[in-house]
Amino acid sequence: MKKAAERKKTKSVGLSAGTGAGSLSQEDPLLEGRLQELLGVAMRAGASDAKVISSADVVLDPRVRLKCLIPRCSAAGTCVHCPPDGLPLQETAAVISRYRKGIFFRVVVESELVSGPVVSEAIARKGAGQNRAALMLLGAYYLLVLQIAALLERRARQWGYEPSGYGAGTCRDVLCLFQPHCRALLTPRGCRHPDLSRPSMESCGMDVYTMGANVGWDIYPVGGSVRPEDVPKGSLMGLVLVA
Amino acid sequence: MEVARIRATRTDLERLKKDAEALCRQALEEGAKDARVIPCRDLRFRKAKRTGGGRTQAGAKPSLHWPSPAYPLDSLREGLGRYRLAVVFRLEAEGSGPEKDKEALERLYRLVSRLESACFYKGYHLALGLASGNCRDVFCSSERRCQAMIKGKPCLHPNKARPSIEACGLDPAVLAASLEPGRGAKKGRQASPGLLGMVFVD
Repeated sequence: MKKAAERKKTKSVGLSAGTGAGSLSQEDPLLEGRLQELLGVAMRAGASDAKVISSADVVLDPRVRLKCLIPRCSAAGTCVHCPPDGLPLQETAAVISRYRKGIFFRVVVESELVSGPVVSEAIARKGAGQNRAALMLLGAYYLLVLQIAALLERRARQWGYEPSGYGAGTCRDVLCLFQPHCRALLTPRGCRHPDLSRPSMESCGMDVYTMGANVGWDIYPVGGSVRPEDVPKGSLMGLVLVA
Repeated sequence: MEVARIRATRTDLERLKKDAEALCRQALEEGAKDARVIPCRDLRFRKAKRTGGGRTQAGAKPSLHWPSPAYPLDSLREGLGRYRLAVVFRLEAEGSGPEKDKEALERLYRLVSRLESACFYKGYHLALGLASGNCRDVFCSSERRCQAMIKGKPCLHPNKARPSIEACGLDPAVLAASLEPGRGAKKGRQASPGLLGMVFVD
């Protein structure tokens, strides 16, 4: 009986999030506890760190989407979520303004998997060439980020919220690498993996590196021009805006 | 290579100036003829007409980045407007002729990439470099078309292809003049600014 009343109460709160989250945290005394529970879910699912953040902590910068295009990323233009497609900055800002709190998490990746010319070349050539096994392992980490985001969203939805999740990198290389194209981008049939596919934080214009540094994580730039031994670790980050 | 941890706060202007000056030195060491730090607030964008990649000079091959980037110019300018300092540099072409021109452009694209990369690993993760000319002439001159212009297809040279300074609406003549303080932008026959590259640091 008590549980049913609680469920009913949350449902009404969750619905209100979609129509303007104004003073949601004051209206929802359960929210803080639930965010803490979601932190636990993220950690148990494989996140290395997770933090509750305010939506005001999401850093938006028009230069981030520009960086997907200049120089051109191997995923740009090939996935419905990636620039020049995907959510423009203004729309992302509008979405974020509907939320007050979210779960920001990261998955730490060994530096050998995300740095060095061989890895960089393999990513650019979609797995062709050397180091294919390492690339598949890196793909598994990206998939983990998408899975954590999907899991947190599902849990929040069960409580009646309308969460919005974001992953890392392009979902095309993780979920549809062996498909000829992103179906959602080129056909009206939509995404092949709507349960897991999410835009990356960066594809929506969020400055993920700065956000990670702001919550105290040690974030290092990684890429093809740096040796793995020069970087302590790589970080893949995701975000689920909850309420 | 030393890799800097990403900073939580925006780099203060003094430090940014020092790092940009160091980038100028690197540009000169790596073959640039001139290099200078410029404040981005002074940049003026020309009103560029979108050509749709089709209406170009006779014989010219359009690409995703040239004669105008095939993505919203407004967001491009909004993004570039966020930077505080940039480094402009010029390479000297060695000889003339199509092969020499291509070699010179290749050198320019390589140098822009290296300088952008240097900024990135110093913790300026949003550093962004622009080159000169058409990336298609450098990387895809033997291709029948620029593959990235086909919806859903990736660029054949990711992480290397980039737009030119002029394609983004910046006036190369004005930037070239900034390399020679005290002299205005050249006009007429002397207007050719040479092989200019530019890296927006932060």
